[in-house]
Amino acid sequence: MKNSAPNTPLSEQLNPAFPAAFPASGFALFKMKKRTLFNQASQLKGRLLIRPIVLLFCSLIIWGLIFGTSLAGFNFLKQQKLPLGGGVIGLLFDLLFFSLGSLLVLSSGMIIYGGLFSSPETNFLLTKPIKADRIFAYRFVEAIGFSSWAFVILGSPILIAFGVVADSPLHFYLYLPFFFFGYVLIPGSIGAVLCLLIAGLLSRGKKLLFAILVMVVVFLCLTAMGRFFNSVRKDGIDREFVDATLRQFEFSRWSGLPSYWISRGIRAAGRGDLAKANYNLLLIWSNGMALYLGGAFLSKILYRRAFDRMIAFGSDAKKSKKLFFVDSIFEKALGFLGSSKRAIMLKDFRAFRREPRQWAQVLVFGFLLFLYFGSVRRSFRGEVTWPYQNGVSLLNLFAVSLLQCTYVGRFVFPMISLEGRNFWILGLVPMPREVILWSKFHFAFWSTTPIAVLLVIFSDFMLKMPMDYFFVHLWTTLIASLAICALGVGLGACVPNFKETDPSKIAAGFGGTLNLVISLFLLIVLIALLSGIWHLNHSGDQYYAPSFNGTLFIVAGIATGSVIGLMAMLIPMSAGSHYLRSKEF
Amino acid sequence: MGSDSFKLTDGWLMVIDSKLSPAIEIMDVCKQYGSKLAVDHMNLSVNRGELFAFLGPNGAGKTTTIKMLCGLLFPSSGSIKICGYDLKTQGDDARRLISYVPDLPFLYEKLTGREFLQFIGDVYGMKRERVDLKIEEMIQLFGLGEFVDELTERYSHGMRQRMVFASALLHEPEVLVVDEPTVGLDPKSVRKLKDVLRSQADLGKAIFLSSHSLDIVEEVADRIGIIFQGKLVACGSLESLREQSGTGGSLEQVFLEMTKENQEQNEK
Repeated sequence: MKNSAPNTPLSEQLNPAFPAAFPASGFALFKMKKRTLFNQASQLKGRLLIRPIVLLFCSLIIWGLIFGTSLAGFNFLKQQKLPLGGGVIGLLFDLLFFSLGSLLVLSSGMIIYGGLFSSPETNFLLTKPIKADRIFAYRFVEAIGFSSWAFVILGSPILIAFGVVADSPLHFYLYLPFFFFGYVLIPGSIGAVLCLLIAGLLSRGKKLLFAILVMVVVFLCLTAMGRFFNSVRKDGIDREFVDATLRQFEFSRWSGLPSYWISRGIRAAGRGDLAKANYNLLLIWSNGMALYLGGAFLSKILYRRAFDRMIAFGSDAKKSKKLFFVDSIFEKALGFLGSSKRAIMLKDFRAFRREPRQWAQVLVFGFLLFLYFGSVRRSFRGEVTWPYQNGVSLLNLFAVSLLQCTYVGRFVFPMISLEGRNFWILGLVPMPREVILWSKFHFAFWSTTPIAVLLVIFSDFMLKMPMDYFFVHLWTTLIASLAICALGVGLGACVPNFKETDPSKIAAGFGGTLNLVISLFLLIVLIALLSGIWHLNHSGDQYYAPSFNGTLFIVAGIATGSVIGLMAMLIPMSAGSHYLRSKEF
Repeated sequence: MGSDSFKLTDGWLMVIDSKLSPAIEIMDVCKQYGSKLAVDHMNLSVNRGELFAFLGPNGAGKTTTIKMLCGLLFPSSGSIKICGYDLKTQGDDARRLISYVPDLPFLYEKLTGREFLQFIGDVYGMKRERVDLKIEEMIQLFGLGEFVDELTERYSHGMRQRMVFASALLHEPEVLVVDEPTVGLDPKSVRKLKDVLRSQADLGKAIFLSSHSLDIVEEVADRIGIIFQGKLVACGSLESLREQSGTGGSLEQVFLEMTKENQEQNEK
């Protein structure tokens, strides 16, 4: 009996369905992925193509804006007789790739973390005879694809604009994709390795570690900003200023950094120096592949163990029966709302605060903005003029609203979708469904507007703006907050994605992109009407009261802006309420 | 008896050994979640051709045990072997012999049922002709013909459950681990499922069934194990459990008695 196959694995002896070789399960995963993409593409046939068209259109707008700005910038440098292959452009490229690379480490690391440890598909795959490094490879490719599109959209217009202005040969453009795809391997692999190490070795204290990491990143940013502002606190922009600035970013010119290799390689390709371009290209690909292999090797040793640790230690912390003091403050602060709205808001607040990955990002960006407002006046000490004050205060107002807009798009828009399959719980509660929607609106409004108001007051205070500016800016912030929060909540109810459980994927999907584009457009219109006209009427050399005609324009602008803002609040909320009322679960 | 036996070059001995070894061997297994001991020194073996039912109240450690059997979790101490393969050190080999049907079935929404089954065949390295043959067999067995070429995103719960069972049996596993298979199924589907489980056991496969449906367990199980607070408090045929519990009634009475008794012991 079976003497002829002494070394045949037991599984094959027991089961003739198996071939002699170990299953090529890694290949099977990619084959399946190809098939799902093909099926998704086939589903588009005969359907409205609004979704892909909007996505393509938005991407093209962003691409075009960056291309136009870069073209103008490179032309300006050319007019200033700055050599396009010289130090300043080199530094810009070094910094560009360094910062994009750093962001890629974070984004791909987080996506891989989600893919490897908290996806139902992963649970399914781990019960199959698929080697850990093959699951890792599958997740890695997925994460790289997901996180690097931003790199391509941001990087390619800048480099193509550079090629156009520098009259680069045709092969420069052919080199670009090879440099891009080789480069994303490096930060992607570093992110993956970090993710495996954190999950595999430090699961028990992962929240603490995450908090420490965030603090280290914030500290590094603050140090860099502090050094930068100290260096620019000079009278005017002169040679010394340029040299001082260049010195601050000297670290990005270290020849051991991949960002340095891609920057040098691309500039060499632009000059037609193929030997140097090829050398750097090979350097990037060989290091990228070596790092990927390192990650795959690590996954072979660590992945399954890490998964076990994540489950074993992930739910250890018991929650106290008593109301946490922050929840208690939150609940009391919202005492003026009805009890049902308050209960839903408290639920959302708890979910939000128990997810440090969410609030840490908001905290970091908010804090950086606060720091910038605190430094902006000092930076131009000695020569700050009224037009600067007038212009910078408007830009700051826009920056605050933009931050709020991003927060709403990322965290508030997915809220209705995240109720997902559990919607029946809220759906069966004896209260009108629009109450659910309004509670989400209140949550968005009250969790963002006070911070936005404080930042605007702080910015105006630091810039020593006259009192009337405070009122105009606060009114603008209030109207913009109402509109952006209502749009995020209302649109989130109109185009929900109940199947997705990852808020970042909901925000990055069709509805999220649509919300972001409309919000940005609305924000520009509202700020232009509510504050822009005011600022234009005060754009002289010094502050003075506007003329009668100017005042009329200002009043008309504020009135129109307020009406548009209120409509932008009521229309999406009404549409969202209508959708929720008619939705069957 | 163990994995070492299979490393011998003599194929004859190897096969004889494997045929004698239990399909599932759980040896002094503990699983710790932080400070909580979810599974406490469990010893259990399930033979080929046996339908073993695993019962226990919520939070008793059933799911943890099942996750360890499928290789999703590792024991904190002790070991688990599937047909002689240690799940910790020879996991890929062991997983080739198992199929797991979870309580919440996972399917790729953008694949048709047939494509999903082909994918499973690919994952297990089965030859294409064999896969096609087995798919047709599964279509007949589970009545998938009407919807097998539709995207799975359109499937009802019952259709999904049938598809998951088809995928689990496609590669002819030696061990089938099933967690709450009857939730959301209509009576006809439940009948079909019971017949399939029984016939798989009769074909020599080991079935590890976790369920709260005591009537189903009573009808199909050869042996029943009751886990309570991480410990296997009783194991044997229904008759022997009746003797152990001192009740001559239904499995429900036996189960309530066994878990009550142990709760009282723990409280003391």
